[in-house]
Amino acid sequence: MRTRLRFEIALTLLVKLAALTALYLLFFAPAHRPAVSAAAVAHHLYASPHQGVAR
Amino acid sequence: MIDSAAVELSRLQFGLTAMYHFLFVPLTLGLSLLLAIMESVYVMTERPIWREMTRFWGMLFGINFAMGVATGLTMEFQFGTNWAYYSQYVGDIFGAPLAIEGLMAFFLEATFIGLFFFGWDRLSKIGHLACTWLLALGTNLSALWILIANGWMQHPVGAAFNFRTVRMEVTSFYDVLFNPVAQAKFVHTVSAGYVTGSIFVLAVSAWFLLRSRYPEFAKRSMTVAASFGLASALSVVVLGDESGYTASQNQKMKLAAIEADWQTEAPPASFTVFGIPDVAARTTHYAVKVPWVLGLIATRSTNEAVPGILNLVADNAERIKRGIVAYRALETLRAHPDDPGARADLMNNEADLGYALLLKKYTDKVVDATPEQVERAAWDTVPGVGPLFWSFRFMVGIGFYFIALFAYAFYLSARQRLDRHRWFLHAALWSLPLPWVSSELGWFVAEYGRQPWTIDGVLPTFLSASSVSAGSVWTSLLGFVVFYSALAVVELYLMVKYVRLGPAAEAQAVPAGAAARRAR
Repeated sequence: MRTRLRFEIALTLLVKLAALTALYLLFFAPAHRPAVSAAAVAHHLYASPHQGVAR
Repeated sequence: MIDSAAVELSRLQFGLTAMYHFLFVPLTLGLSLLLAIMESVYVMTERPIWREMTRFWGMLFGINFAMGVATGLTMEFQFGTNWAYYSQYVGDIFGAPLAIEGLMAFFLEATFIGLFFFGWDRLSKIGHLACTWLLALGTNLSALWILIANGWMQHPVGAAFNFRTVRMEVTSFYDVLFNPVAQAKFVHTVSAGYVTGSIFVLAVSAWFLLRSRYPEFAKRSMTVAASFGLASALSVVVLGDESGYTASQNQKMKLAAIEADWQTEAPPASFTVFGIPDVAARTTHYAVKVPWVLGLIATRSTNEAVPGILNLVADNAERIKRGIVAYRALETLRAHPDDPGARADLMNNEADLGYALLLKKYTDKVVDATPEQVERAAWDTVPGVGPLFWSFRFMVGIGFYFIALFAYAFYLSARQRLDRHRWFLHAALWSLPLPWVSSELGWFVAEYGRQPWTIDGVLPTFLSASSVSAGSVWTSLLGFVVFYSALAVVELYLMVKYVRLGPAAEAQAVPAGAAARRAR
């Protein structure tokens, strides 16, 4: 029984690893991430239309 | 312009993944300590049944751990993609406990779970027991670091805003570690985990007794679950009271929303047991109140008031106005970093800078905000009263039910009558989903009650989200739903299968040599 359980857990972990990798590559890899620098945060949070962004 | 659909979808995605991940966590927390207790009894008494118990519940622990491990990783994926502004703004502080959790606690847990499963016939009894306790320690330390990170979101201490780097930076890691909100959340959360583990053992053992299977095994397991569960359920209430007290000190609006208290009552405030909150009319209909209770819980005094929502909104409008002064000073400092007047203005009003950011929902020209915009932003600081009011009451109701259930189980166990009352066994079995329901409600109260902030008083949620499209969040959300649903099905399948096989099947799997050694 334990061998069977080990096989089932190992298989599930493998499938999970593959699914997580696929999700990461499809939606969250660096290519999908917006580039956010300190200047971008300053612009997003603290820039009024009448003021330029200090870089 | 901020895409509100993308913000809401990002919130939904993060909330769903966090709640899914937390289906596994409380059982891991609870079972790890129960395993350590059972194995300690085995080492002390050398009675094989305690070893069988440790191994059987350890097998179910292993299934849960394997299914749950790495399901929290998807939240870390989201920080960089959906919450990039948040990550840049507070990553210096928030990232540290998460990194420590991964490097220290998770590896401790992962190492000793391996030794727990593969070390039975390779380690001495004491050596294996030490591994089991270290596994429980690692599991609990994991929760500690995560809750330090979460506690900082609720009560951001030990950090300051640096206008040159435009981010929050650590000023005292000691304060971050010993944040009273984080500490209260930690003990409350792990106690809830111990209750979950105890209910799980109680319910599965009740199922065995109902089917007249493994009665000695089931009764001993129930005895451990009843005593440990009773202590844990009482701790949850006491430590939840501490959580309520820290909220009254640091998150007054959250507490007022949970209580649907619109007006500030004369102290000591009463506790609303039942009522129908009416947000539009800003009142609570048919309120049934217990005098003094809220005042005693929230202030631990009889002469201190608990502020109501209307008063807090008025206070927050003033904080927004002071935040505008800080915002204006910041604009000046970005052009002239050494301007002494602007520095003084920022320093004097820095605590309210985040409140000015709430105005970004209504105007890009924060410093020129109208009184109407200030009032709307002040009302935005009120989280959803109805959902918080009811979630909290259901959670507390379930908590008190657990105390009654464990107390009765403890009584039956002491009288050696655990298998005499079938109605009790049915009640124990059907209570199985309740700790998960109450844990998820607890998280909902904590996180939904933090709105409209990601970092309380510092960074509004709508400004924390990245400029990603709603379409891309929908697609990844769909991917998560498919992934997590599949895992949930596998978890249920494996759990049911191995519970049905029972401890005898586990014992049969022990190699012949090991069985002979065990018999000796």
